[in-house]
Amino acid sequence: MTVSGEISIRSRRGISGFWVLIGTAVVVMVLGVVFARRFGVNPDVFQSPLIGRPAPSVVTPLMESDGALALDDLRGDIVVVNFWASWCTACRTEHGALLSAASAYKPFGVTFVAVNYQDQLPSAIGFLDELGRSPETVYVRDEASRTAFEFGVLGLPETFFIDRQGTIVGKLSGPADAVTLTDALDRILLGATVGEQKTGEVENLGD
Amino acid sequence: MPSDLRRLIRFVLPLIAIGILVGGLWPSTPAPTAEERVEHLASRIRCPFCNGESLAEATSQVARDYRLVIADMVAAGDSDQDIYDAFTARFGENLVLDPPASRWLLWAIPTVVLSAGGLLIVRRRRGRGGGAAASVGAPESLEAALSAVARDLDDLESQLAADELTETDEAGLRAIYLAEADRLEAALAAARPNPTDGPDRRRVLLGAAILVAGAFAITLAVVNAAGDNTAEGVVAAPPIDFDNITIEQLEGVVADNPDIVPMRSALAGMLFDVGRYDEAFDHYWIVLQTDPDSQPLARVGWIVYLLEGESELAAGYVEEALERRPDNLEAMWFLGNIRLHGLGDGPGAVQSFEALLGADLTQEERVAVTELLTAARELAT
Repeated sequence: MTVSGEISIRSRRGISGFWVLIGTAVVVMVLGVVFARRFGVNPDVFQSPLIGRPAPSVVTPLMESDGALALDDLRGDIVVVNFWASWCTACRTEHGALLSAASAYKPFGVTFVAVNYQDQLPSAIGFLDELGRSPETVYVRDEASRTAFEFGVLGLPETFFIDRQGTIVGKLSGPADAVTLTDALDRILLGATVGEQKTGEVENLGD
Repeated sequence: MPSDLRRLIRFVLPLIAIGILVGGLWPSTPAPTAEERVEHLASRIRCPFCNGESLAEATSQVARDYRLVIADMVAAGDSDQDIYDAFTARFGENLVLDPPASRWLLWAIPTVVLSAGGLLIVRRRRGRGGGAAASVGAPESLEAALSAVARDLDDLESQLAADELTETDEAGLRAIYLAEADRLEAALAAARPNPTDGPDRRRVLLGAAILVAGAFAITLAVVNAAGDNTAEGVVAAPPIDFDNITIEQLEGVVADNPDIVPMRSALAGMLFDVGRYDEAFDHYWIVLQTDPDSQPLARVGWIVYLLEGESELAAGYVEEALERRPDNLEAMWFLGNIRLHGLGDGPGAVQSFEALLGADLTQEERVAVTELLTAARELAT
């Protein structure tokens, strides 16, 4: 009596233990796949969904004079839209490369737009006084962060590339350097895309 | 209570419980006023800069600006979905704090695991309640009960020795205690890991290890096969070999960008280098309309000489090119050759080649120019 009871308990346990193991293995596997696919993907780094989409039709005031720039008016040019601020240290790093590229690519129909974002106007002007202005670049202010919103800006500096048809074809997050800018612009001149590249960390106010 | 009614209650009560649970978890409907809608939306959208805070929680200027964006869209009569879409279209799906329904795994896994666990517990309970010969108890309490019975049995003997019990009473009690001891031992044997479980357990552990290893291997394989959406979500374009751009590629680019002179110039140069002179001429001619630079001018002259044999016209072009840039060595070479072979102008050719020798030339070039200079001197005398 007790013997058969014991056996029945043991055999029942053996079977359910087996299925528990199988079930656990399957669950571990599924979770493993789900989590492992997220390895190396920093959830704070968003991939811009704007690449391949038309550039937004923003109108934004000029920084150092009256008037405004309508991005749509630059259609037909390759447009490089760079977001910067005087408080952003990486923006200092990339400033020289942007000036040179703006001048070097002017003959190829490339226009640079520098968007001053979340900044005080006197500090921004001081930044340009110190590091230089590019005659080939249009300097604008981002009023109430509307331009940054339209471009989905996630930190400074960020640089967007718009082709002659007005499509956003590339984005750099982090400071731009001469090689990356040249490579990106050469690609766009040849009608190729650039995609998204991370060249370094981006900064935010209050970080 | 009739058992039908009991069964009905047993069926209905969980349904009510689930109803209450789902009702509690269901997202509350958006608030009616505009400010409440803005606040609600801001609390559901992540501030892109603010370490996981929502736009409602974050205090930065950007968060305030983006709350204004929401307010403007609400005022313009956009729906909640429109506003979520406006943010995700610019910043990506991660921006909305509610996990989207497409991440069904997030919802499905806990549900499946919890139900499986619940089911397992229920089955265990039933299995034990019906199958065991003894009432279920923890091994420790069973052991305590067993030693109590053993003590009772000991007491029985001392009581018998002290004549506190008759032999008949003692035998009756002993039978009861022994039966109790048997029952407890059996229960203990069932509740406690049996010594013969040893090898069995080792086999289970081995099986588990194999399963886990297998699961791990399959996981790795699937992840690797799923490919490279890693590396911080960065999409880099395929490399272009800028040193080996074909003429066809460049022709396409120039056709798309007809007004970009430097690119047309580069294409003309490539065509000129491979000897496709008539095509090069067409492009140089267009370049010259906007940019009468020395190099295209000299090459147009050279092509006129090579293809048309119009030596005087060709020399005119090349001379003008040299006026624009007297250090254009290529133009000097062209002019010397045109004067020597086309115009039969010995002294002119000598002058060109001598000037060329005064410049910085490679050894090979120097040899070639010296030969031509000799020929020019012969012609001059």
